[in-house]
Formats: sequence, structure tokens, C-alpha cells
Amino acid sequence: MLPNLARRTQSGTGAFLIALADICRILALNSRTGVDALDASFRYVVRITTGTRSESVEVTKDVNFMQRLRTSASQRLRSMWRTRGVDARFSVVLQPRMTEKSGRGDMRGRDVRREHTRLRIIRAAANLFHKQGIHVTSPDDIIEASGTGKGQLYHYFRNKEALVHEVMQFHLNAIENDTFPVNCNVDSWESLESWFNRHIELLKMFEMTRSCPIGTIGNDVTEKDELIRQDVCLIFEAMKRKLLMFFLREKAAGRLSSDASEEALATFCISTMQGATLLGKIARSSRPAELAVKEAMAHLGRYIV
Amino acid sequence: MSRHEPADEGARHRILRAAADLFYRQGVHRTTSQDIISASGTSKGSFYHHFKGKEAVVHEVLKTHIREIEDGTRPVNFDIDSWSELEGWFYRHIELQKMFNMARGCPLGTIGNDVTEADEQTRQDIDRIFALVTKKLQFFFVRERQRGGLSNDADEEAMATLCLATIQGALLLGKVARNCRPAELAVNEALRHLKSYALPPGRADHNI
Repeated sequence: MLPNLARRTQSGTGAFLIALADICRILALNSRTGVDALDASFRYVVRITTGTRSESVEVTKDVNFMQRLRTSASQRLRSMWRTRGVDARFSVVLQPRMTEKSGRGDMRGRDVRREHTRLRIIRAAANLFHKQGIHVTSPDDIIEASGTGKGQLYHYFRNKEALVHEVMQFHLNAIENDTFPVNCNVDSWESLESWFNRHIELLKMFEMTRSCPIGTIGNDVTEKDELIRQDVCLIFEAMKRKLLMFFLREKAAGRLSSDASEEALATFCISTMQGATLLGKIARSSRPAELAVKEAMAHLGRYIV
Repeated sequence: MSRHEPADEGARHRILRAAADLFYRQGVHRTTSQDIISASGTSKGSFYHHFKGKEAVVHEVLKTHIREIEDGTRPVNFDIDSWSELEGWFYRHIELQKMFNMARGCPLGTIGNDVTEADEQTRQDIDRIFALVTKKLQFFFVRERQRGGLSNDADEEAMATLCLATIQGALLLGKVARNCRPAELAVNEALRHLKSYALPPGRADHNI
């Protein structure tokens, strides 16, 4: 069920789909028990905000939940784009809305709500860390962006470091479950190319003002942030493993030159992509990132037998 | 020259040097003006006499970087004239990182990554530096082509951009892993690719 959800959202194009993919990520990671744990008695509200305007789409969770969510949310978004121009920024927030059916004494409902609050905080923090790094982001910023209270923040997370760790776990899980905005599950040369291009698409979605969410945090790490460094390291390792698997399979199938080092190629991909997103952010233009990716692909292509 | 002018210049210099080191170590946002004042052993008065605030210091630090790249006085040589010097350019970055026990990234990349939408001046400064570095690398590839040492399908600008992207990413991976291995793997692949555009010495009209 979970991988299906993820794949369905990734098949589309356009920035709003990326945002919706993000929602699927939350749903997929909602709890250990996954999407099915979401109580049918909840209705879900997707709030799309561009500038000061905000519109909501409400859906009830049932079989066609994701399908309807996607259709109605993208319709709403398109109409907002028409009025505000395509460069309008938007944020999509998913929140549970209680219906009459779920009462106060409903333990299951309360657990779901708790999980939603926790995830809302993680998601808001992940977005702020991506936008401005860890050190600039204060607990108050996260409280404001997530619409929670100070008590709630410190109820769910011991301190900022614990929250950073949770955000990194969130990213790591997303990579492992292929729900990360950039699909790292590469299984063909075409999908390797889209792995590169998807990073650039993501940059464009933020108008070239941000680089890679993982790289931004990695760069922020100083000698005092040993735990965060290890988290970032794990994420890069997970990403590398996924790419490495592809190169190993290609070599086993005799489609990769025998003088290729799979580990070196996977490291080269991540390294060049990290640098490319930085150059794109600094130039506020996708051109340097595209040039670097073009050369990287030219290089990788030479190993194809 | 008045009596206290050299002392003044000394303070300014000390502030810039301390700030550059702090930005290199922990980025711009984590560094406060007070950190810079303490690390440089100057006073608040002296700091604000020379600089309006932290942003002005960042701007001056980056201007110093540009000047050093142009003068060839940075620890890394950007005026490349041979494939082995290009190799040296890559490896010198990693060597510097090793000097700091793999605990820091690139001094410019660290500031660049730190840039948010509110730091437009800093972004433009870094943009200028990256453009300068790309130009210097590109210049080498263009000269190689003029010497007949570069394959026809080579795109000099893309090659130069790849150099910069790979080294930036490599230093980040190295820093995060606290290990030079990922950085070296990435750099070796990039070099392998770049050199594949070089024509064999027999076909070039000079010795590489």
C-alpha cells in the first residue's frame, strides 16, 4: 500500500505534485502502522496558501482518498495560480479535522491526533531547516510555522537537537521508503538521469533560493554537532547505497564497464549533485547545476557497455 | 602617516582574519559580532569603528577572498596551466580539509550554503567568486583547446562548472563523513572524466 501511494504521486509533474508528494510522505510515515492507521472518521484538510490567500480542500479518507485529494487540490491550486501568477509561492498543510463520529474518549483518535501534531512540528522544522539552516531557526520559528504551542513542542521533543534528529530520521525514512522528494530508487540509466534532474526541479520549485535539504543541514554542522553529523552521514550513506545497488546490478548484468568502481560512481553522483545544487542556489539560476549534471551524465555514460 | 593609523589598520586586519576563520569553522549565522570581537582581541568600539556590522565584515572577508584568488595568494592555486596543476587544484582542497581534521568544508561553500533569502549581498559576493573560479578553470580548458590538446566535443564551461560542483560536493561529503575517502573518490572520478577530453600528446602540439 505505501509504495503504491508514493509511486502514484511521483508519476506526475509540476510543482504542486511535489507538494502533494510531501503529503503522501507524511501519510506514509504517519506511524509505524502506516496510512491504514488513519482513522476513517477523520476528514483531512489540505490548506493551500499563496501569499496571504489561503484555500482549503477537505476530503474524507476512503479508498480513493489520494486520488481525490490530488485532483481537488491541484484544481484549487491552478485557479490560484491563474489569479496570482505562476510564481506565487504556496504551502500545503495537511491536518486532521474531527468529525462527529470521533468522540473525546476515542483513544485511537487521540493517538492519531498526537501523531499529527508531532509530524506537523517535524514537517515545519524540516521546511525551515531547508530554507535557512539549523542555526538560524529558533524554537519560536518552529512553533509559529507549525501552529503549535511551546508546551507541545517541548512535550514531543526534549530540545532542538532532539527535533533535528527527528527531522533527519524523517528524511532517512523517506529515502528508505522512496518517498523522498527525489526518488533515490534508481533502476535504469533513465531513472538515474531523472534522479539528477529531479534535484534541479526541486531547486526550481523554490525559485533557486534553496539547495538540497540534506546538504544544507550537512553544511551547517560544526564540530559541536556530532549527533547531527552522524545523522547526515547516515542519510548520505543510504542515498549512496541506493545508487550503488544500481551500478552493482548493471555490472552484474554486464552493462557496466569492468573498470568502473561502483562506490566511486555513486559517491561522484552525490558529490556532484550536492555541489550543483549549491551553485544553482548561489547563481539563482539552474544553468550551472544543469551544466554540471550534463557533464556528470556524460561521464557516467562512458561506462555503459 | 599619523601615529595610530597603523594600529587601526592592524585592528581591522585582525578582525577580518578572525572573522574569516570563524565563518570557515561555523558559518556566518552562528558567528556573532561579539564572537569576532573576542576572537580578534579587539574592542567593540574598534569593531564598529571599522565596520557597520557583521554584514559589512562578511562583505569585506569575501572581497579579500576575491582579491586573493585574483592575486594568486590563496592556499589553493587557481591559475591552472596543465592537467597536473588541475589535479593539484582538486587535491589541494582535500589537503586543506585534512589540515582541519576533516571538520570543515570549503571556506566559500560554507558561507554559500549559509546564505538565505535575507542575505542578498552575501549571495552576490559568493556568486562573483564562483564565477571568477569558473572563469579561471575555463580559461585553462580554452587554452588547452587552442593548443590542440582538447577533444572537439568538450564544453569548456560545463567542464569548469563540473570541477567546481564536484569539489564543493566532495568537501561537504568529506566533512560530514569526517573522512577524506568520499571526497577522494568523487574527485578521482571527476578527474578521470575531465582527462578523457585530453587528446594524446602525439596529437597535441605541446607537451602536457
